[in-house]
Amino acid sequence: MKRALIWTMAFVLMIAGLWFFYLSSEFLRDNAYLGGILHVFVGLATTRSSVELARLAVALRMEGQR
Amino acid sequence: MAAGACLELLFVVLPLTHLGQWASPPPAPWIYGVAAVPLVLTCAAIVNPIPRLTVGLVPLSHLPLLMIEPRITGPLVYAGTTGIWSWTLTLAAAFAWVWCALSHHRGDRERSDRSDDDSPTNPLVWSPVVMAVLVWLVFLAPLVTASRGAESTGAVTAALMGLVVSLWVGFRWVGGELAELEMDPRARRRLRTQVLLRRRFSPQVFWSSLAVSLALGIATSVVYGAV
Repeated sequence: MKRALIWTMAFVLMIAGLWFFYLSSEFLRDNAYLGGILHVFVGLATTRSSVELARLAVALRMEGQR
Repeated sequence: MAAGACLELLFVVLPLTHLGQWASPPPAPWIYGVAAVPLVLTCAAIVNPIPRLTVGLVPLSHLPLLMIEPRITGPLVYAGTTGIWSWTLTLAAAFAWVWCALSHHRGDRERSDRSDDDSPTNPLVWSPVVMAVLVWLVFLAPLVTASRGAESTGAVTAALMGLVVSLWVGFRWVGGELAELEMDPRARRRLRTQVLLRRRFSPQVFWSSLAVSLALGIATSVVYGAV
């Protein structure tokens, strides 16, 4: 149950990161470079959070298997 | 084999055909002879996939053709939305070729000392590629829907930024830290040692990333009012 919750949170954060990447591409396309780069950083930080949560879920499963 | 065939088709055969049909002056006949060199070497690499041939000679064999006929990578071939798609497909084929060559080589090297329970049946094997393609497509989506004839500097910047971000997220974060943790026993041992040393899983990176994303998101929303 706990791992399922963590995977769900990781998935939601990954979708949020992809959404920020989409916005950054829109900003860059319209030559708004500052907004584009800011959104890339936001997307990277959000995606990093999702990867850390996924690692936590994998680590929890390893603990359960031991 | 399929990756090599796609790569040569997209990088050599189709651009040369395009130039021969539409460019003036068309390529000289002997240039087609130079273009045959990478094709022959790719066939040789498929027959005998040693690393110095697959990731050494095959990529280098394209250089003479690129020096003699630089138009095959010029705007005549890669301009506009269709050009972005051609460029993406060519890059994907090149990555697939290198990936197949390296995994084949790694498989030969590690097959002898791999135990039965480490067989690569895990779906996470493909997660780096899927994640990289997903991020790349997300970056390309606004560019595909853009109106033709607009200034392309921003679109090119977005495409390049998307390439860097997709490779970083896909292969360094998801492939290097998540999929490796799932598939490589050495990475699992490293994490287990780390957990034993710290006695608990450290959530600092997660919280700091979340804090940075929230702060930057609020700052961007305040500046642009778009999110």
